[in-house]
Amino acid sequence: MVSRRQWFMRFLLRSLTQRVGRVAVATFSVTIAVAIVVSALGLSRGIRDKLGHELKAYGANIIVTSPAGLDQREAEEALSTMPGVDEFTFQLYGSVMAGSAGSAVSAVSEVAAIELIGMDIDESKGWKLAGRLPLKGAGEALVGSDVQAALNLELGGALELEGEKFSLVGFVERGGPEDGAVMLWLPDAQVLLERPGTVSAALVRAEPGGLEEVVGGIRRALSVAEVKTLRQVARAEEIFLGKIELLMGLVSIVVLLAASISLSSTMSATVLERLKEIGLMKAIGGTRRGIGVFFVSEGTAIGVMGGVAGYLLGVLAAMAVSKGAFGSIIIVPAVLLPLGVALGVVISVVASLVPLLGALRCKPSVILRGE
Amino acid sequence: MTAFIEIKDVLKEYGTATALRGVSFAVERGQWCAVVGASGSGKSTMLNIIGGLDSPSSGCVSMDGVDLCALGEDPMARFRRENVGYVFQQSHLVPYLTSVENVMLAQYFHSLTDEDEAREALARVGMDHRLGHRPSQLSGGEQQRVCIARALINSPKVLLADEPTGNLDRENTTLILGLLKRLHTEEHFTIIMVTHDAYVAGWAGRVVTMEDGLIVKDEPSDR
Amino acid sequence: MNPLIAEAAIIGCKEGLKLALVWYVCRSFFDAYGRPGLMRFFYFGVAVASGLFVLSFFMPHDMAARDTVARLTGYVFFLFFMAAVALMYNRPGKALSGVSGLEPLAVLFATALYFSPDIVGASLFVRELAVLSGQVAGIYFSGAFAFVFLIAFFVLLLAKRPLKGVRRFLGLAELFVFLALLKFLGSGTKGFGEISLVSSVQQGLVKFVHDAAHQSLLFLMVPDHPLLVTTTWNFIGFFFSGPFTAFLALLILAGPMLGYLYVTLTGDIPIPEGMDSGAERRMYRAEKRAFRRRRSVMAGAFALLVFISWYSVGGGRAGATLELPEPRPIVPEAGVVSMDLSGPGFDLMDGRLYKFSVNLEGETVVLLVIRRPDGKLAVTIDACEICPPDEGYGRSAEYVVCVYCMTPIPIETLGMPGGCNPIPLEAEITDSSVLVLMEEIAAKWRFVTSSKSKEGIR
Repeated sequence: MVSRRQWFMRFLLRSLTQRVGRVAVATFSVTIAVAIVVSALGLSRGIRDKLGHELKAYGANIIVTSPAGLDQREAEEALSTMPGVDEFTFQLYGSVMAGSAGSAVSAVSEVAAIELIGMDIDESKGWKLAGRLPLKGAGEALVGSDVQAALNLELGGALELEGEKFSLVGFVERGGPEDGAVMLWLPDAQVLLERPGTVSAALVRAEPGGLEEVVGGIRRALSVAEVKTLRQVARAEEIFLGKIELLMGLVSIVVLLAASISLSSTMSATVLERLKEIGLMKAIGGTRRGIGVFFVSEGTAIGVMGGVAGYLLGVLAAMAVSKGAFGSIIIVPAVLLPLGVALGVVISVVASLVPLLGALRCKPSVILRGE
Repeated sequence: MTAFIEIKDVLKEYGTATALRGVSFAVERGQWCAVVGASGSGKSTMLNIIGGLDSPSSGCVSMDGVDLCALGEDPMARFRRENVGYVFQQSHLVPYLTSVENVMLAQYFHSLTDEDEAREALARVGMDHRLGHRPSQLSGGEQQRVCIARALINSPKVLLADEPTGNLDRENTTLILGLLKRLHTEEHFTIIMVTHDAYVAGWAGRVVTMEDGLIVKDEPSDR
Repeated sequence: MNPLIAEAAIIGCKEGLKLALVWYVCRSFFDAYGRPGLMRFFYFGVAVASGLFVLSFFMPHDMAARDTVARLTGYVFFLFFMAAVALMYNRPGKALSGVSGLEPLAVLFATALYFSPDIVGASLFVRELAVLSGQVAGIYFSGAFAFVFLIAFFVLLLAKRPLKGVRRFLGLAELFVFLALLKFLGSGTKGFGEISLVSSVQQGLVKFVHDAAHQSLLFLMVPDHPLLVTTTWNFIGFFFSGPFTAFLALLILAGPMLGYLYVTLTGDIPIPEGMDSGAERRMYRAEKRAFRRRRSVMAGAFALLVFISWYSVGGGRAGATLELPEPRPIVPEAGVVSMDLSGPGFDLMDGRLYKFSVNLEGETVVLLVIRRPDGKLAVTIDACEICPPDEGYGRSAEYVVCVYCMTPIPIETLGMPGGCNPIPLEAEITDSSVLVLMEEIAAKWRFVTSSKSKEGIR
């Protein structure tokens, strides 16, 4: 004996598999809507990760930058004699083409644009480290966990950056920008990026009490440089992020609206097409609720399928866009999967509910008369 | 004591058109009644009103002591699934379900599903060799037999048939009518059947003739 | 309005609502089963409880009294729960059958038992509020008014409309489940901890097991302590630890309900003789099944509620969420804040996150203390130089996480200055406590508040 629930599932399965064309069209509409929203959310989240926390965990409270780069010697002299400065360190940022070289299967399996950070890697700064830190001047590199995953790298292997080989001695994970970057010792990076004697930024730790004075001092000493306290940077980032997120939010809303409209017309067509079925079910004793449950479940199933497909598509889209725009890969968080599925279900059910309620109101005698 | 099925002064208007002009009519338990008439004479409308698929503009309908006009839409649906079996001219079957599943759909709305019982019901109408076929793979006669199996699965008190043989050739018509005959004589089903075909009407025990929304003749059949 | 007066009103509302609800359901229940006369004994029961309420005014209202009443509430809950379970698993007699002479007595007794602890507890609570606030009349009036008003409101509203379909959802067993459920609800989610296994019982059991083992080993003249090393005792102790007892309580409370659900929802439905047509059999089965399903609603709701409160008490948590402890308020003495290294229920060296709040010239400053993996104690302000200090830090598995910006900070770096790290404090750690100068807190707090840009971030 087949239980009621088993029968219900069987009915649902039949209705989905025997009407592949219709189901595919509806699923596709859901997929596109969810994909766009997921990629928008993923991107804005990714951008937040890229911008935010850039420097916060280094213990610095002042950042000195210059668009054209700072002269390392000049900056070093100025900072080391500045009163109130406790410590400072230099970093150089750039982007390089990377490939995993020398892996057993293929010489260059993957090539991608990757962020490069040149820095003093003499302490692990609270990173979660696998392997060890690179030695200075030994042609060794440290790789962030996201890059490791994306390029499928192995410890002890070699990494090819702009044609030069570096041996991989460690992987780090911190939940920050390092995860998506390759780290080299500063001199190596300067050579690789062909910017000898230049740094992108100086991270300075000063006595928290006298920050403003130190900022003023550095401004006077290094006229080309932009000097900001970390708070100012954080604030500017917040504002920028706010704008981007607003934009993404607006785009998502517009897309959702458009998708719902197109989906609801698809769903209307399907329901109209099945008006006879509805009339028949009524004639053999189906209540409005009993019949409605079938169609809503079908909408839910379509929403789930579209949601999952949309999530996957959205992840791919976000990756493609971020690679083009930022030169590195943004990983869309998995939290968006349930969100995408929920979104798919909601729009699909809402879209099918409107025509369905209309159809359920019709008298079966009227529906079934058509001869 | 009122009759098993009774309609009284039923008037049905569709906008300006009038389909039934105050029809009164009663059917006793176990009767096989054929309603004949030209197209547009209101015979289908009357059948739909008896089965609760449509409601009259005025007048009242009762079946087995229940006033159908007093029931709301969903109670009506509940009444229908326990008491009325339908067979339509076009065999309305769900296209993506197999024969057995179509029969099980009626079981589902009624109470629970029971696949073995559905198979038996199909066997009773001689369809045990076509259980897993979908409607598109069946001939018109076979589809109609599935419909009859579906109409009977919930042991209704009355079987309503609207031109059950309308789309069938003579051979299949005889087959379907033979089935109804067996149900009527062996299981004492009450059957109301709408048709325009005198041959078909001849199988019933009583023939009611309608014309322009009124009953003009009501007599026992020759057989 | 005085918040204590509002609190008294809320207590009044709660008790009034409970009484009105039970009255309504019981009335409909007795009506539905054709025994409206039993309602009289319900009123007698309520009168007994009210008598106890009056008596309670002559009882001392100290902590011990309230503790006793709370425990009694737990026992009464358990009685009703047990009665429900017994009725559920023993159904040969139909509901409300049995020795009819005893029924009125049973109703009277059950009603008095049901309401007494709550109503006495409420009176003790309200009296304490009255003492606390000094506005004795106001407190009493507001509590009593809320109580009477709610009852009057519901009685007037519902008196003319007995609940429909009572018989479909409630048999006698289900009525008891409902009553137990309401009691459970009335005690809040904390009730799980209080009701399930009263802690004194638990401690008594631990002591009993310990003593029994100890005594029998002594009897055998075996020196037990070298034999049963500490880990063994810890192992035994595990069975009385919080998580285990919470799990046990879950099993005791939800188990019978789930078992009942399983039996009723999957059990066979025998078809009576003489049902020839398949349709008839199917309909019989469907109706029986629907009936069983409706009769399971109460048990299902009870099991669900138990699960929810079990989870919220912490039984089901696997460390997936941020640990966000409430700050414990401390008061500085002679310009020094002193935090005990350990005390009942806490140990600063256990690796969990601890927060303390201290008043600094009208502002609340939260301090954060945690043991780092290297064994040193990190003492910081619960804020960094960058983010607003509203929420501070929480702890996940491997990190301390800034609640505002969700930046994970490795725990080993706590106590280092700068960036997103919480601002470290100089502290003196003695054998028994952690000492921080108020001057130090004031100096470091300035880093948090001084910047104008911080307002921009908000």
